Amino acid sequence: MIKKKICMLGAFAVGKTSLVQRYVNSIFSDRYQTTVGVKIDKKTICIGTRKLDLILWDLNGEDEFQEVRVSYLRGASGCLYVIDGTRTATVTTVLKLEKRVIENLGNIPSVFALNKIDLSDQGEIDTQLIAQLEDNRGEFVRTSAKTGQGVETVFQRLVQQIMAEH
Amino acid sequence: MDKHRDSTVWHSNGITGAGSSPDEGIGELRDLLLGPEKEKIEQISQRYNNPDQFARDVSRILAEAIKIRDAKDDRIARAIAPSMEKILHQSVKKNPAALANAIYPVLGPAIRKAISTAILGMMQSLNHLLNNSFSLQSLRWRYEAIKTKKSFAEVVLLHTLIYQVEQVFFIHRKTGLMLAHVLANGDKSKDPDLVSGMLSAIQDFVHDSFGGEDEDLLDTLRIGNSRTVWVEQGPFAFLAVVIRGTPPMEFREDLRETVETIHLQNAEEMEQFNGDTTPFLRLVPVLESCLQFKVKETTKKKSVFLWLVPMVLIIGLCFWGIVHYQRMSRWHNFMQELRSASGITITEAGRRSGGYHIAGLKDPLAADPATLSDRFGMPSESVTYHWTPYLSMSDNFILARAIDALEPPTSVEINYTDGKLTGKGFAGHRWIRTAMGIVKVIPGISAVDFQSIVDMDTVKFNQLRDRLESKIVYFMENSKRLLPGQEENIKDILTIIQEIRHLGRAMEVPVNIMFIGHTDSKGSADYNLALSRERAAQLLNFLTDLHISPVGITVLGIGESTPTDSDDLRYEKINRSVTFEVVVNDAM
Ligand SMILES: Nc1nc2c(ncn2[C@@H]2O[C@H](COP(=O)(O)OP(=O)(O)OP(=O)(O)O)[C@@H](O)[C@H]2O)c(=O)[nH]1
Ligand SMILES: [Mg+2]
Repeated sequence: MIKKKICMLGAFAVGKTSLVQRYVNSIFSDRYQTTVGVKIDKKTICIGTRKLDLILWDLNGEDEFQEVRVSYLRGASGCLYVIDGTRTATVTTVLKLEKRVIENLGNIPSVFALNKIDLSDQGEIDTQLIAQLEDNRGEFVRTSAKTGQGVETVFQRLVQQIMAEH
Repeated sequence: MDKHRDSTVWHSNGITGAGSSPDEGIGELRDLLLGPEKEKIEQISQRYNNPDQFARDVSRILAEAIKIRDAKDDRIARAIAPSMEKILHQSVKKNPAALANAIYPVLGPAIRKAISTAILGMMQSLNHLLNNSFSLQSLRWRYEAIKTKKSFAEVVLLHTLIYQVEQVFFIHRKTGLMLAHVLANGDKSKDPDLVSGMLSAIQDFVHDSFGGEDEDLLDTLRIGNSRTVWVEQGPFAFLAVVIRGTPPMEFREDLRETVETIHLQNAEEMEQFNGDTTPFLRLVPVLESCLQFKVKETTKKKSVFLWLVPMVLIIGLCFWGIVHYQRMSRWHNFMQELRSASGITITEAGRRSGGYHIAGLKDPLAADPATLSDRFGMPSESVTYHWTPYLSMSDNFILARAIDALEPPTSVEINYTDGKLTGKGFAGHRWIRTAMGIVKVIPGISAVDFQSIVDMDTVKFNQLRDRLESKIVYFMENSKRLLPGQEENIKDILTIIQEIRHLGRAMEVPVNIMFIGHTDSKGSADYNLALSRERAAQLLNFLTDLHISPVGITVLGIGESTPTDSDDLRYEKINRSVTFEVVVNDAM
């Protein structure tokens, strides 16, 4: 049995909890309940004949009141950075977090999720900025926790990277 | 050392110098005298001059030398101590983990020893305290302490500590991933992976929020009143055990030992852990040894009493059962008898407030139930009766009631069939008359036949009457004087009259006795009539003189009207007489 710790990172209310809930329990709720500290979930997947337990650390969103604890990042095998497509500011936060991860853990497998893609009509983020991110970061997936679009893909990409390193 | 070397140099100079001095004779002499020793001295000086060789020589005796010196004083230790401290400082500055890992295995036992010493001290003071307390419980425990050769405090602790380890997690510190997990049988657990993650997140949180030092890590979590999570830290992983109840402090030591041994044997795998938990499967038996539990041991000790008590109870119950059964069957039999007894009708019966109560109807003539209950082994005072009197209409009760009312003499036998009372035998006149009166008011009797009862009084009365009426008192011819020589006869008559009167009074019948005077046929009829009357009156006078009351006696003269029908002279005499007749003024 192989177990891997994965951290969900991003600004507050970008949909980290929603993505985990969609991925693990296939549910979605419109209600927003902010995560305090960390909530841990587990998803067992199969890669070929091997079983893999993903231990998902859904961390609190980064904002001016609550910083993501570095100690929670320790031992992570991969990071999923989440951006809220309707808020440009969430990109800045994600980049700040990415920097912190690299400082503490080095270059570990990571994937970016541009979430709430179902609200693309309200899309606020500059398309050029998105294109730039897509170019610089190997993995960049458009997701919606609400419709489920891209959710499987974004986790799959991350797992592939992790297993390539394993 | 330098000094040594100087002296060596000086020494060798001396030897070479000697060779070139003018005093060769002395040199030769020296060669002659010290020839063999010279070679040895040269060898020694060579040894001193060669550092390698010298070091080897010193190493040979160094340990011995230190030992000898150490035995003398502590100069060596004092000389080395500063250097040692310097070395340790430098080592820690360079790589603290190395030293920490090196002393980690000894640290545990050392701390444990210190703690157990402390606990021992505490126990002793506890012992002292408990020695002064006195209770039944403490007595029992004291006895147990003597028996098991434990200290009293230990026994007390044993009784107060009950616990069970429900789950054991072994969690990788860095990743928070669960390496191994065991459960006490039968228990259910949330996904241990999630629990492990959360446990390490909580640890991180606590450490970040409160602790600065690396050692300031969470070691106990309380869940409600009954459960605790004990966390035992190791360098690479930590043990978390979920315990219900209060475990003893020694268990902490067990956990420490477990973490230490696991680290000793698996340090490398833990350090290089990359998510593959398979190697840690072999930890399962070790973790299972942590699934301890402790129950109150006293239950075992008490077991003798524990089965003694039910035994006594069972025996008691059996005894009670037998007694109860006997009592019940006695009561049952008694009730059956009572129900079948005539003259008794039971309307209610049962046990109430410790005694038996029976209510119903009872004929006053029915047998006394108290004597019955005695016969069935039921003490009569244990039964309370509530009787309502009534008259039973069964044949034997009507008969009994009749006998009770009539009080017949033993010579009379009374029977009852189909509403008719019959009697036979002998009885007094008075009893028969009274009985005839009473019998009509006895319930259940519609006809009476006392025909077969012979009236003894009447029989006797008739005999007396016959006797009196056969008596004759004779008179002299043409005179109212009695013929002499009749004294016996008159005495007889007197007795009979008295008996008749007595019997008549007893039978309550008015009796009248008639004295009838007679004459012979000589003389005129009128004269004879008067004479006959005078003769009867004369007899009455005569008897009154002998204390016979004239009441109830009628004097009558019938002259010559009833002569004997013979002309025989002898009968003339009979006709000059007084005869008797008894009249009863009642239909008998
Ligand atoms: N329309 C839409 N709404 C979303 C999507 N994902 C999340 N939301 C909503 O966004 C809100 C915040 O979602 P969360 O998943 O709680 O966000 P979070 O990142 O966990 O927030 P914090 O825990 O506070 O950091 C909720 O009301 C969600 O319903 C999405 O893909 N589409
Ligand atoms: Mg959340």
